Amino acid sequence: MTRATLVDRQDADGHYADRHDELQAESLRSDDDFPLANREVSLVDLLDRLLAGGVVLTGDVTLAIADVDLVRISLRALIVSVRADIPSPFQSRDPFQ
Amino acid sequence: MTEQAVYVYAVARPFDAGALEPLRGVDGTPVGLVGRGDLVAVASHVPLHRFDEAALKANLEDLRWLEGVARAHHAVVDAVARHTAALPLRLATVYHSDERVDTMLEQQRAAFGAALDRITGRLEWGVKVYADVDSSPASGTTAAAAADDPADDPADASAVSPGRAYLRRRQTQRQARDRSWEQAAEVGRQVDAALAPLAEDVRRHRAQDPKLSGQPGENVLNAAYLVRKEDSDAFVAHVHELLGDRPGVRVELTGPWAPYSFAPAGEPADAQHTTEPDVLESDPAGQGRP
Repeated sequence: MTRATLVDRQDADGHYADRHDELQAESLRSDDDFPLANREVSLVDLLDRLLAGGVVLTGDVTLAIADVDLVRISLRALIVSVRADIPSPFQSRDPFQ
Repeated sequence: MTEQAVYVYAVARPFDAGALEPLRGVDGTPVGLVGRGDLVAVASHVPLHRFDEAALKANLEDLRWLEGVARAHHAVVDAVARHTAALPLRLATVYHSDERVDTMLEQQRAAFGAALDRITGRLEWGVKVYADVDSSPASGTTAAAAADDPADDPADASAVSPGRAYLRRRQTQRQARDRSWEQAAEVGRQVDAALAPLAEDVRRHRAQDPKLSGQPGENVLNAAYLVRKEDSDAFVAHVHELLGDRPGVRVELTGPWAPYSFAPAGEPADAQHTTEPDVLESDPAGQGRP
């Protein structure tokens, strides 16, 4: 999954650099029009789609949507510790350093 | 022997399962196809005890587990979507057997077929807009002081209790913040209005909490756009154009994604509540998309 982040490209004057070509290269670099999924996707974006999107089937073991909402809420504090600026939350290191 | 369950990632038209060979799914399990007809489920066999109700309830509170499953689920969906049109399923959709998956595919044949037709040749793009909102107390306080200073309004001075003056000041602050937020929200609406014509469909996700995303500013738009592949260059270029000349506004593009946000809502909640006693009820009101 390609993640073309424009946010971090503001220069010192507060202007966005001209990244049009780079953006396109990143976003549409593809085999069969669908890029390789090597790039890290933010967990928050992923959960937006995996918990609020996708086909909802009852299944035989049901993930009740009420539970999902609870998860989203209860995980807030935890997810702060896995923001993109902290490479791996699971190594034994102090997340507050 | 450990009782097995079937974890389903996505539904697609039949395709060469050899393409899945190197893939590993949740818990490192091999990924294969289940289904006999013109639809297949991309699935893994998993130990039931890892995904039964009790495990899910406990594990979903475990960020390490959740992230591991979410990323594994996504890796499979993404790989399949590169080969063929695929409908992603909600995280942790689990059946007791291949036969149950077959039954599900049969029951959903028409809906899946229509949904696959709808997303074939399309990509999902995510666009988020962050806008600075002036929530500093200073601006509100200034306005409040001007409005509430008793010297400016002698007729009112004796009548307004300190408590009421405080409430009025708070209200003025709140109104200033509301105005600032409204201006930010308008930026989000403008971006959305500019992009929507290039898309076949739009889904607006809930705004992300800044504490979750780690992004400064208010997330005033968190939308997904279903865009034809041949229109995607133009869409991406248009997102870029929207970046210019908007101080205090940041736009972030993600994707292309498999069409998570444009998967159909699925069956009516009671469609599968057959005779199996172990089928768990879920909240029917929560089954549909908003």
